[in-house]
Formats: sequence, structure tokens, C-alpha cells
Amino acid sequence: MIKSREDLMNLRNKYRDDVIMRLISYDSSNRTEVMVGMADCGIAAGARDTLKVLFDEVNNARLEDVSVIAVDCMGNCDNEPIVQISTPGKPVIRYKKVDTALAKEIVAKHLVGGSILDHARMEV
Amino acid sequence: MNPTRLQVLICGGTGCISSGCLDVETAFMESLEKHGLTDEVFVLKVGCLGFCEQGPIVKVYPDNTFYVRVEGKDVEEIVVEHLLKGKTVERLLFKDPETGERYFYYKDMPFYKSQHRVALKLCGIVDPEQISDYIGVDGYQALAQSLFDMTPKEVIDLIKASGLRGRGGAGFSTGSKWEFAYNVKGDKKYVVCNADEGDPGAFMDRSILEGDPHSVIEAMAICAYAIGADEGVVYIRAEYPLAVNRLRVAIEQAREYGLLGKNIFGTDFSFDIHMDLGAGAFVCGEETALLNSVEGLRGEPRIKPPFPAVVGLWQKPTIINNVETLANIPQILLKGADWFQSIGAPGNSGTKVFALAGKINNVGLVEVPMGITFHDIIYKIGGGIRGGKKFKAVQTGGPSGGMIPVKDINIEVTFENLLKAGSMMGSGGMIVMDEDDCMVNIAKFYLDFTVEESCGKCTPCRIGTTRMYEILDRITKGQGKEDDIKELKSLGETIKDTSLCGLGKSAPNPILSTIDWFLDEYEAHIKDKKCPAGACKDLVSYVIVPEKCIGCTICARVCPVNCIHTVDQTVGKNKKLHVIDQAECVKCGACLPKCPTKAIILE
Repeated sequence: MIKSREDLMNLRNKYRDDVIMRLISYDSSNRTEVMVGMADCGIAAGARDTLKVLFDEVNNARLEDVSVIAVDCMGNCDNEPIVQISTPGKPVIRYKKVDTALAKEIVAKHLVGGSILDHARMEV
Repeated sequence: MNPTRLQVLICGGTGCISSGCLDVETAFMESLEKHGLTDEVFVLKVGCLGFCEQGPIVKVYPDNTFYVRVEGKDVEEIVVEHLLKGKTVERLLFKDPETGERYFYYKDMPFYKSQHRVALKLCGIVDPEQISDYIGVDGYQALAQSLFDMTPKEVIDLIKASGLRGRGGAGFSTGSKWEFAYNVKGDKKYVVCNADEGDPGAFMDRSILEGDPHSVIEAMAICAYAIGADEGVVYIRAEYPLAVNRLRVAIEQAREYGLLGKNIFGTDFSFDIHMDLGAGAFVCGEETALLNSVEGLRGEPRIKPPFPAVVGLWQKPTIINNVETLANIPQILLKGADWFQSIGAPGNSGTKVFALAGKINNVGLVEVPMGITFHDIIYKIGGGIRGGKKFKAVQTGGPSGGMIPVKDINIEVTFENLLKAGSMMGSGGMIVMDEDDCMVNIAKFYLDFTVEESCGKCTPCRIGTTRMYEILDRITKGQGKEDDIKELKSLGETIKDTSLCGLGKSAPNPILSTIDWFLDEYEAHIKDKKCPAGACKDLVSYVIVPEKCIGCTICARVCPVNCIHTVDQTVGKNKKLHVIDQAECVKCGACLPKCPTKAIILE
């Protein structure tokens, strides 16, 4: 039962997680897309775990305008799991051999902190 | 619920339900269970996504993939390839019928590219049966803002400044209407939502109620606060079972959450809504007839003035707003009047939803900024005329509107321009006609509807439309007389001048506008007893040209009444010439497209 404006605000924040992905995807022009190569080569190299960690960390950090998306083979199977980050208005960045530890680092340093991890970067 | 990595949105509007989306939903549930993905993927049914032509539609978020015409048997492939491996199932993407190009993202599709969704914004985003989704996307914040930060007068001034005009057809300023009711002193006032969508082919109000019912409830509460009402009524036709059901669920949930009822947000503002189901009479969409119907009287219009804002439901001041109008209100409050003014054309701010139908490639529901041209709607969004045929006219405003001919295809769609062109905005039906449509026949079709739906209160409308129908009927049967056109015009003008309500005042429009723009077609029917489009069955005959017939027998085999016989004349390679027996022919046209040598013609 909503008894005050604060009650409504609290419920909004509580329910927002369920629906924010749809809202951000609907108007996708301003979101950052984190793409994980999930073809057979990626999955064999452990992309499924990478994807899961990325997704959980992005949610924990409450990054509303970031979407984690599974995509097909990115064409450089040696370096899988590959993660590509596309932010509107910025150059596309790709990281190679992203295991779960590196995935956590990417979220903390790149997505939250805004700095590129040069040691794991690969050419686009 | 923890957020899931993927969300699968299935269009659950009436259109997609009838093309089988419920099977698709079941298939997803089974397949996800099978692959152990139920924790990773969330499946939900949302409101109408608009592209009904291509239903059932399935959207995958966050990828933004837009699958069309998905059947139960396609689901396994989507789950295995797309949801597990991130590989888009290309064969299910929308394919442009003209270019053959497939589109990965809905934003790139021409059908969506020129659209601007305001009233339909949350249709396809929120689960209409979960108030939590609506609250999660700032639902009911506009109501809170009104109650805590604004006086009723300030709310009214904001709506006035936004330039919002009634989307039900007449285009009267919503803010001014609210101000009339605000200015009337009274102990009891009402807010009524007009959801009696009656135009054949229009379904925007139904889609909003099916897809985003809470925005309408919130807007009604805002209106109630602004004018000082405590009771609301949604008048909705019983022919919309899904919309009725979703609205009922939404009202119950809003009550549970304390967003309807006594002392909303702990303030002294109280407001509740109940539904009134109409029996589907067209005239009850007229606001005063609607009020009569709610009161249990016959659905007949009242004399105006006094207007309902002053003397309305149960003689009390009443605001009646259309569903689409209301759906704009919460966003205007949250984003401001300037934002709304920045969309659309001067004096016609905002967007309008149109139900695009007829001889067009992309049938569906589209929301466009006011001031867009018909050309852009028909060719850019609508994808042009089906089968590469020639555009002839577009009918706007349903049975109350008129035809917009080729010469006016570049006019900007505004309330005023449509009136100038002899039509009207109406509730937003848009039916596209091609070269095969006979304008006299179409006019007869619409008049048939208004003859049925006239409530009978005003003699000119009751008798006059019947007389007009009889004349049109004669014309289409080849029995037209020299002065029929004069008679139609004079009857039409009289009915418009002497009827009480909008039904009679607009019923002759389709006839008058077709006479204006397509006089030659009327004359061909009356003088030459010919139907140039070949649509009036009594005026055409199917004939086989002997020089072209090769005696292949295909036409005789498809004829349902076996009226194609052979005669004793050799054609082609020792075959017999075929002839259509005109006395028996039912003019179904089945033989016409089958003839390999195009020997069958219309005369």
C-alpha cells in the first residue's frame, strides 16, 4: 500500500530492475553495448562464464545504460572469449581472452571507471 | 525477481493472439525448460507492437532482435541458436517486400523509422497485467508530481501550454476543456474516459488499453485532481474483451497499491474508477450519447450547449476524454509542455496514432508526429501499395471522414488541413485505396454503416442517410439517373446542417468527398453504366477473347458454378474455344488470374 510519495519512489527503485532492460533496449541509441562472442569457439573457451560474470557485475554496479549481449563469432577464435564494448560517440574497444577475473576488472575499471585496460586490448 | 540476462517479449495484442501468439508462448516455456534456461530468460506478453501484418511478433532484449511471423515450430531454433549461442535466426527477421533486405533491429525497419511513439510508448515495454512494471518506468510519478508540487490550476495551465488537442476526432484543446469544468462550482464532478472506439478499422484505443492501461488510469486521476472530481468512469465496448479484462486487472491493482481509492499518497485527494460496458453502438462514441448510455438511457445525443464540462453525467460537470488523449497526459507532466510542443506541427503539437489498413504493404498501428505527409505515411512507413498497384485515395476519419485523393498526398496531416481537404482526423483510421477500388462502392459501404448506426433521433439522419443509400445502391447497379448527383449533394448538405450530433453532421462526408474528387466515376456509372474499377458486379462482365484463347480448360476447371463451356471452334493446338455463359456467371473473378494467355478480360 502506497501511503506517501516516498513509498512510490521506493517501489519504483525496487521494480526498476525488472523493466529497465526493456526501456534501455527500446531506445538503444544511448546505451553502451557489451558484446560477448558466444559461437562454439567462444563457448569452448569459457564465454558462458564470462557472460554470466559480466552480467552480474553490471547489475551489481547498477549500470542502467549498459546492456550485456551475447553475439555470434567475432572471427578471431584464438583469442576467445572476446568482449567488445561499444559506447555511443567513442571508439569501439575489444578485449581478448576474457576470463571471469578479467571480466570483473573490465566492469570495475572500464565501465565504471572509464579507463581502457591496455594489457588485454586487441585490435578491432 | 532477479534481473534475467535475456527477455523475450511476445506481442499479446488481439491481432497477434488471433495469429497464434499463445502457442508461441507455450513453446517458449517448454523449450526453455528443456534447455535449463528458465533462470536466464524471462518470457512475457506485452501490448501491441503495431506491426500486426507480420504477427505474431517476438522481440528479444537486450539484443533488440525483431522476429516476425513466429510460429510454435520456430521457437526451438530461436532458443538453441539465439538464446544459447547469440546467433540471430535470420530467416525469421522482417524482409522488406520491395528490396528483399532483412532487418536485424526494429529501429532500422522503415515501418518504425519514421514513427515517434508517445501515446504508445510503453505498449510493448511493460507487462500490462503487472502494475510493478509501470511503477518501475516512473508510473504514477506524474500523479505524485501533480498532487505534491502543483495546484489544480497549474496542472490545467501546463496541459493548455502543451497544446494537446482531443485525439477522438474533433481536436478541441484538452486543457481548455478541463478549465471549463474547473471553473464550474459543484460538489460532484466526473471524469469519463471514452473508450467506445467505433470507427471500422481503428484500434488505437484498444491497443493502448491492452498494452498500457495504467497510463490511462493515471491520467484520469490527474484530470480528477485538476478539475476537482472524485469519481471516474471508463466507457468501453464489450466487444473488446481483452482490453476490458486488462483494464479491470489494472484498476484492481491500482486500488491494491492505494493509487485509486481514498486519500491517495496520504493526501486528502480521493478518486476511484469503475467501468461501464457499452453494447457497441457507434453513436455512443459521441460524448452526450455516451453519457445517456452510462445513465441507463437510450444512446441518443443531447443538445449542446450546455456542454458536458458544465452539465454532464447525472447533470454534474464532466470531462470526457478519449483514451489516446489521456495516454499523452502523464508524459506531458513529466517532460513538460515545451517537450510536447517540440513534437509535431505548429498548433498541432504531439503525435497521432493511425490504424493503417487497406491496400498497403505494412498494415498496422503507427504513431507519427503531427504534420507528417500522407506520402510519408503511405510510402515510407506503409511500404507502398500492395502488389505495385496505383494509389488512388486514402480514407481518413472512418465513416465520418472523406477521401484524400492523389493530388493531396503531400499535404501535412493536421486537424485543419484534413478539414480543408474535405475529410477529418476522426479517431485515426486510415484506409488506403488502389486502382481496383470503386469510389462509389466505397461510399456506399460507409453509408451502409451509418444507416445501421444512426440512432434515429434526428429525422434527416435517420431517413436522409437511408435515401442516400438507396440512390447509391441504384447507381452501383446501373440504374442511376441524370439528377442523382444533384440529389445526393442536396441531401448530404441538409443532413449535415440539421443533425444534432457528429454522426449525422459527418455521415454524408464520404459521399460528398468522393463526388468532389471522383465525379468522373459517378458519371461513368450513371451515364455509361460502367464501373471503371471493375468492382461493381452488376456493371461488369467477364469475357474470353476468342483470338487469345488456347482452349487449355484451366478457367473452366476453376469456375465454381461451371458456367464456362466449349463451343465448336478450334483454337490453339486442336482445342476448343471457351466461352463464359453470362446468364450463369456470378462474377467471382476466379478465372481471371488463372488464364495463362490473359484471354479473360473485364468489360
